[in-house]
Amino acid sequence: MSTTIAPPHSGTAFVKKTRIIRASRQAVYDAWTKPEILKKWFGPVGHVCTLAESDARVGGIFRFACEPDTAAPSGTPPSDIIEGVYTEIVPGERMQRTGYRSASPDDQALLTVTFRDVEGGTEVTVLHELHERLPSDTVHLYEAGWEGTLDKLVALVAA
Amino acid sequence: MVEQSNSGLDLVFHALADGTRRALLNTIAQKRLSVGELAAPYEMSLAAVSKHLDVLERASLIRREREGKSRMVSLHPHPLEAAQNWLAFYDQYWSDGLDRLQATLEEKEQ
Repeated sequence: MSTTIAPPHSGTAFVKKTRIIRASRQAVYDAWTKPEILKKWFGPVGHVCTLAESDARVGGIFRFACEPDTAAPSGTPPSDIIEGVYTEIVPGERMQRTGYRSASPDDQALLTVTFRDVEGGTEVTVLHELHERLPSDTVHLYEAGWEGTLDKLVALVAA
Repeated sequence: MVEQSNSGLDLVFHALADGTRRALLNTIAQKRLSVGELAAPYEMSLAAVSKHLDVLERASLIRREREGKSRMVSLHPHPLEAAQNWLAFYDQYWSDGLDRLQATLEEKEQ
């Protein structure tokens, strides 16, 4: 399993996910950038993507509207709009965009998605970071592996 | 300060990015201590420990209160929960998203 390197100027809050998909690299890349394919899968659980706009060029905008699907249980959050701008595009290899969800407009995110050929398909890595940058002199303090510590702390606090 | 805001979370994650501060927080989570008691196990000056406490305080993770001659440090757990919620939310969000992406693409290829 590959490890995708976080940008050196990365902030400290991130979620990173890697998945191997049995499809060509181009097909997986297209699924992240082409509106007609994005509509088929993008959005929170219990929602359907009713609108997708995606101009996958640096400076191009994206906009997704997700509505609760008819089978969604009551209590499912209402429609969510995700919008922002592409900040980096390497076709078939890497896509980066920054944006926010209407459900939490303060939660600006930087999303970096990378695509890599692997045996049997394509490895896709999603790096979701809080967008606000830390001062550069604090970045070296970053260490991986504190998520578990945080879990333990929260458990301790909750006890 | 609105603790749920992006900048609030950034302060929390920044505070947690350092091993010494995590250790300090862990100690405070178990017991309310004075700054002196907290600094005792560390091979660093009281001033250095105080700087770390400043960072934790800016992130609203701790409170310092004067009590007689000492300053007592206690945990303020709410921002920790906000940070945990942020991580848990996006962990689930992308886990579900990748499930659906995978289902969409692998169905198409078959």
